[in-house]
Amino acid sequence: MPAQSQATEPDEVLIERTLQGELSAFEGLVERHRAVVVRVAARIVGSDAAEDVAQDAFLRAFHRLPQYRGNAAFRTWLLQITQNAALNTLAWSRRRPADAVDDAPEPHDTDPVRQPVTELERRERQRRLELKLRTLRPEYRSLVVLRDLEGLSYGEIAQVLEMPIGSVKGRLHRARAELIELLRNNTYDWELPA
Amino acid sequence: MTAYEPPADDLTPAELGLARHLALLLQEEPATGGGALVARVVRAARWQEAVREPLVLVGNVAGILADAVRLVLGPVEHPTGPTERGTDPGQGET
Repeated sequence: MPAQSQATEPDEVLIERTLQGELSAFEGLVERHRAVVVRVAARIVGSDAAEDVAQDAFLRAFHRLPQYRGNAAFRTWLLQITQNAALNTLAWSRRRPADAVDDAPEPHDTDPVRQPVTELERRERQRRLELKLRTLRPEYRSLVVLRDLEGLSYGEIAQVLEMPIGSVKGRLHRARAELIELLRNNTYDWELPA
Repeated sequence: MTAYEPPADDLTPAELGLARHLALLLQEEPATGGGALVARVVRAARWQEAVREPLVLVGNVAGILADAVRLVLGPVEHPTGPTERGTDPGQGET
């Protein structure tokens, strides 16, 4: 089937065709969801390992597709697999960036024409924030990524993380508090009111 | 570019500040893998699918062989340990 018509087909149709052995339909699903999967993976494990986690997640989804019941949207189900794959990778590598790295200025292009000061400052804040986010404990990090960066609803997050909505809200509150505390303890002034 | 809208939660002032900082991360999307990722996934799915059936077959055959060996050798008797009352049947009795 031409890629163009595949792009307009709903996930359910592509899933059905994949289950019938049509690998091009699965390719359509990967193409459609790769951006969100890589983004979530990158924000949990860092950009270096994000593509490997995404590949792992898609392959797990491919093999588990016969068990997909359609109770949740395919994207939600896929994000559940992605976040599990990301947490496994983290548990495997035990990577937690040290604060010392955070405070080290990043080598950058000092050409004032190409890199205005405001732009440099914005990028530096972005980099430090990314590092701080990765210092959060993994289960909290997933919550902040899914809610505050990906904009998932509480219901969707509850499905991804397999916990009641009340727990999602409570943990998200604690996750944000922990991140705020991490930022306040940073040498950089984040101007976060008490 | 539209103004950033924080998540529609009941946010404290600090959480609101955090939400604005997190918006910084939204300005720079991580690389999303591109076509190379799609090709890699599909390639891996193809060969894994190809070897899955033979592997399942090998697993089933191994299971049948193990059952057959168990049948031929008969049930394995596990040595029994000391009873809960102790090894000496008369122990503790007055």
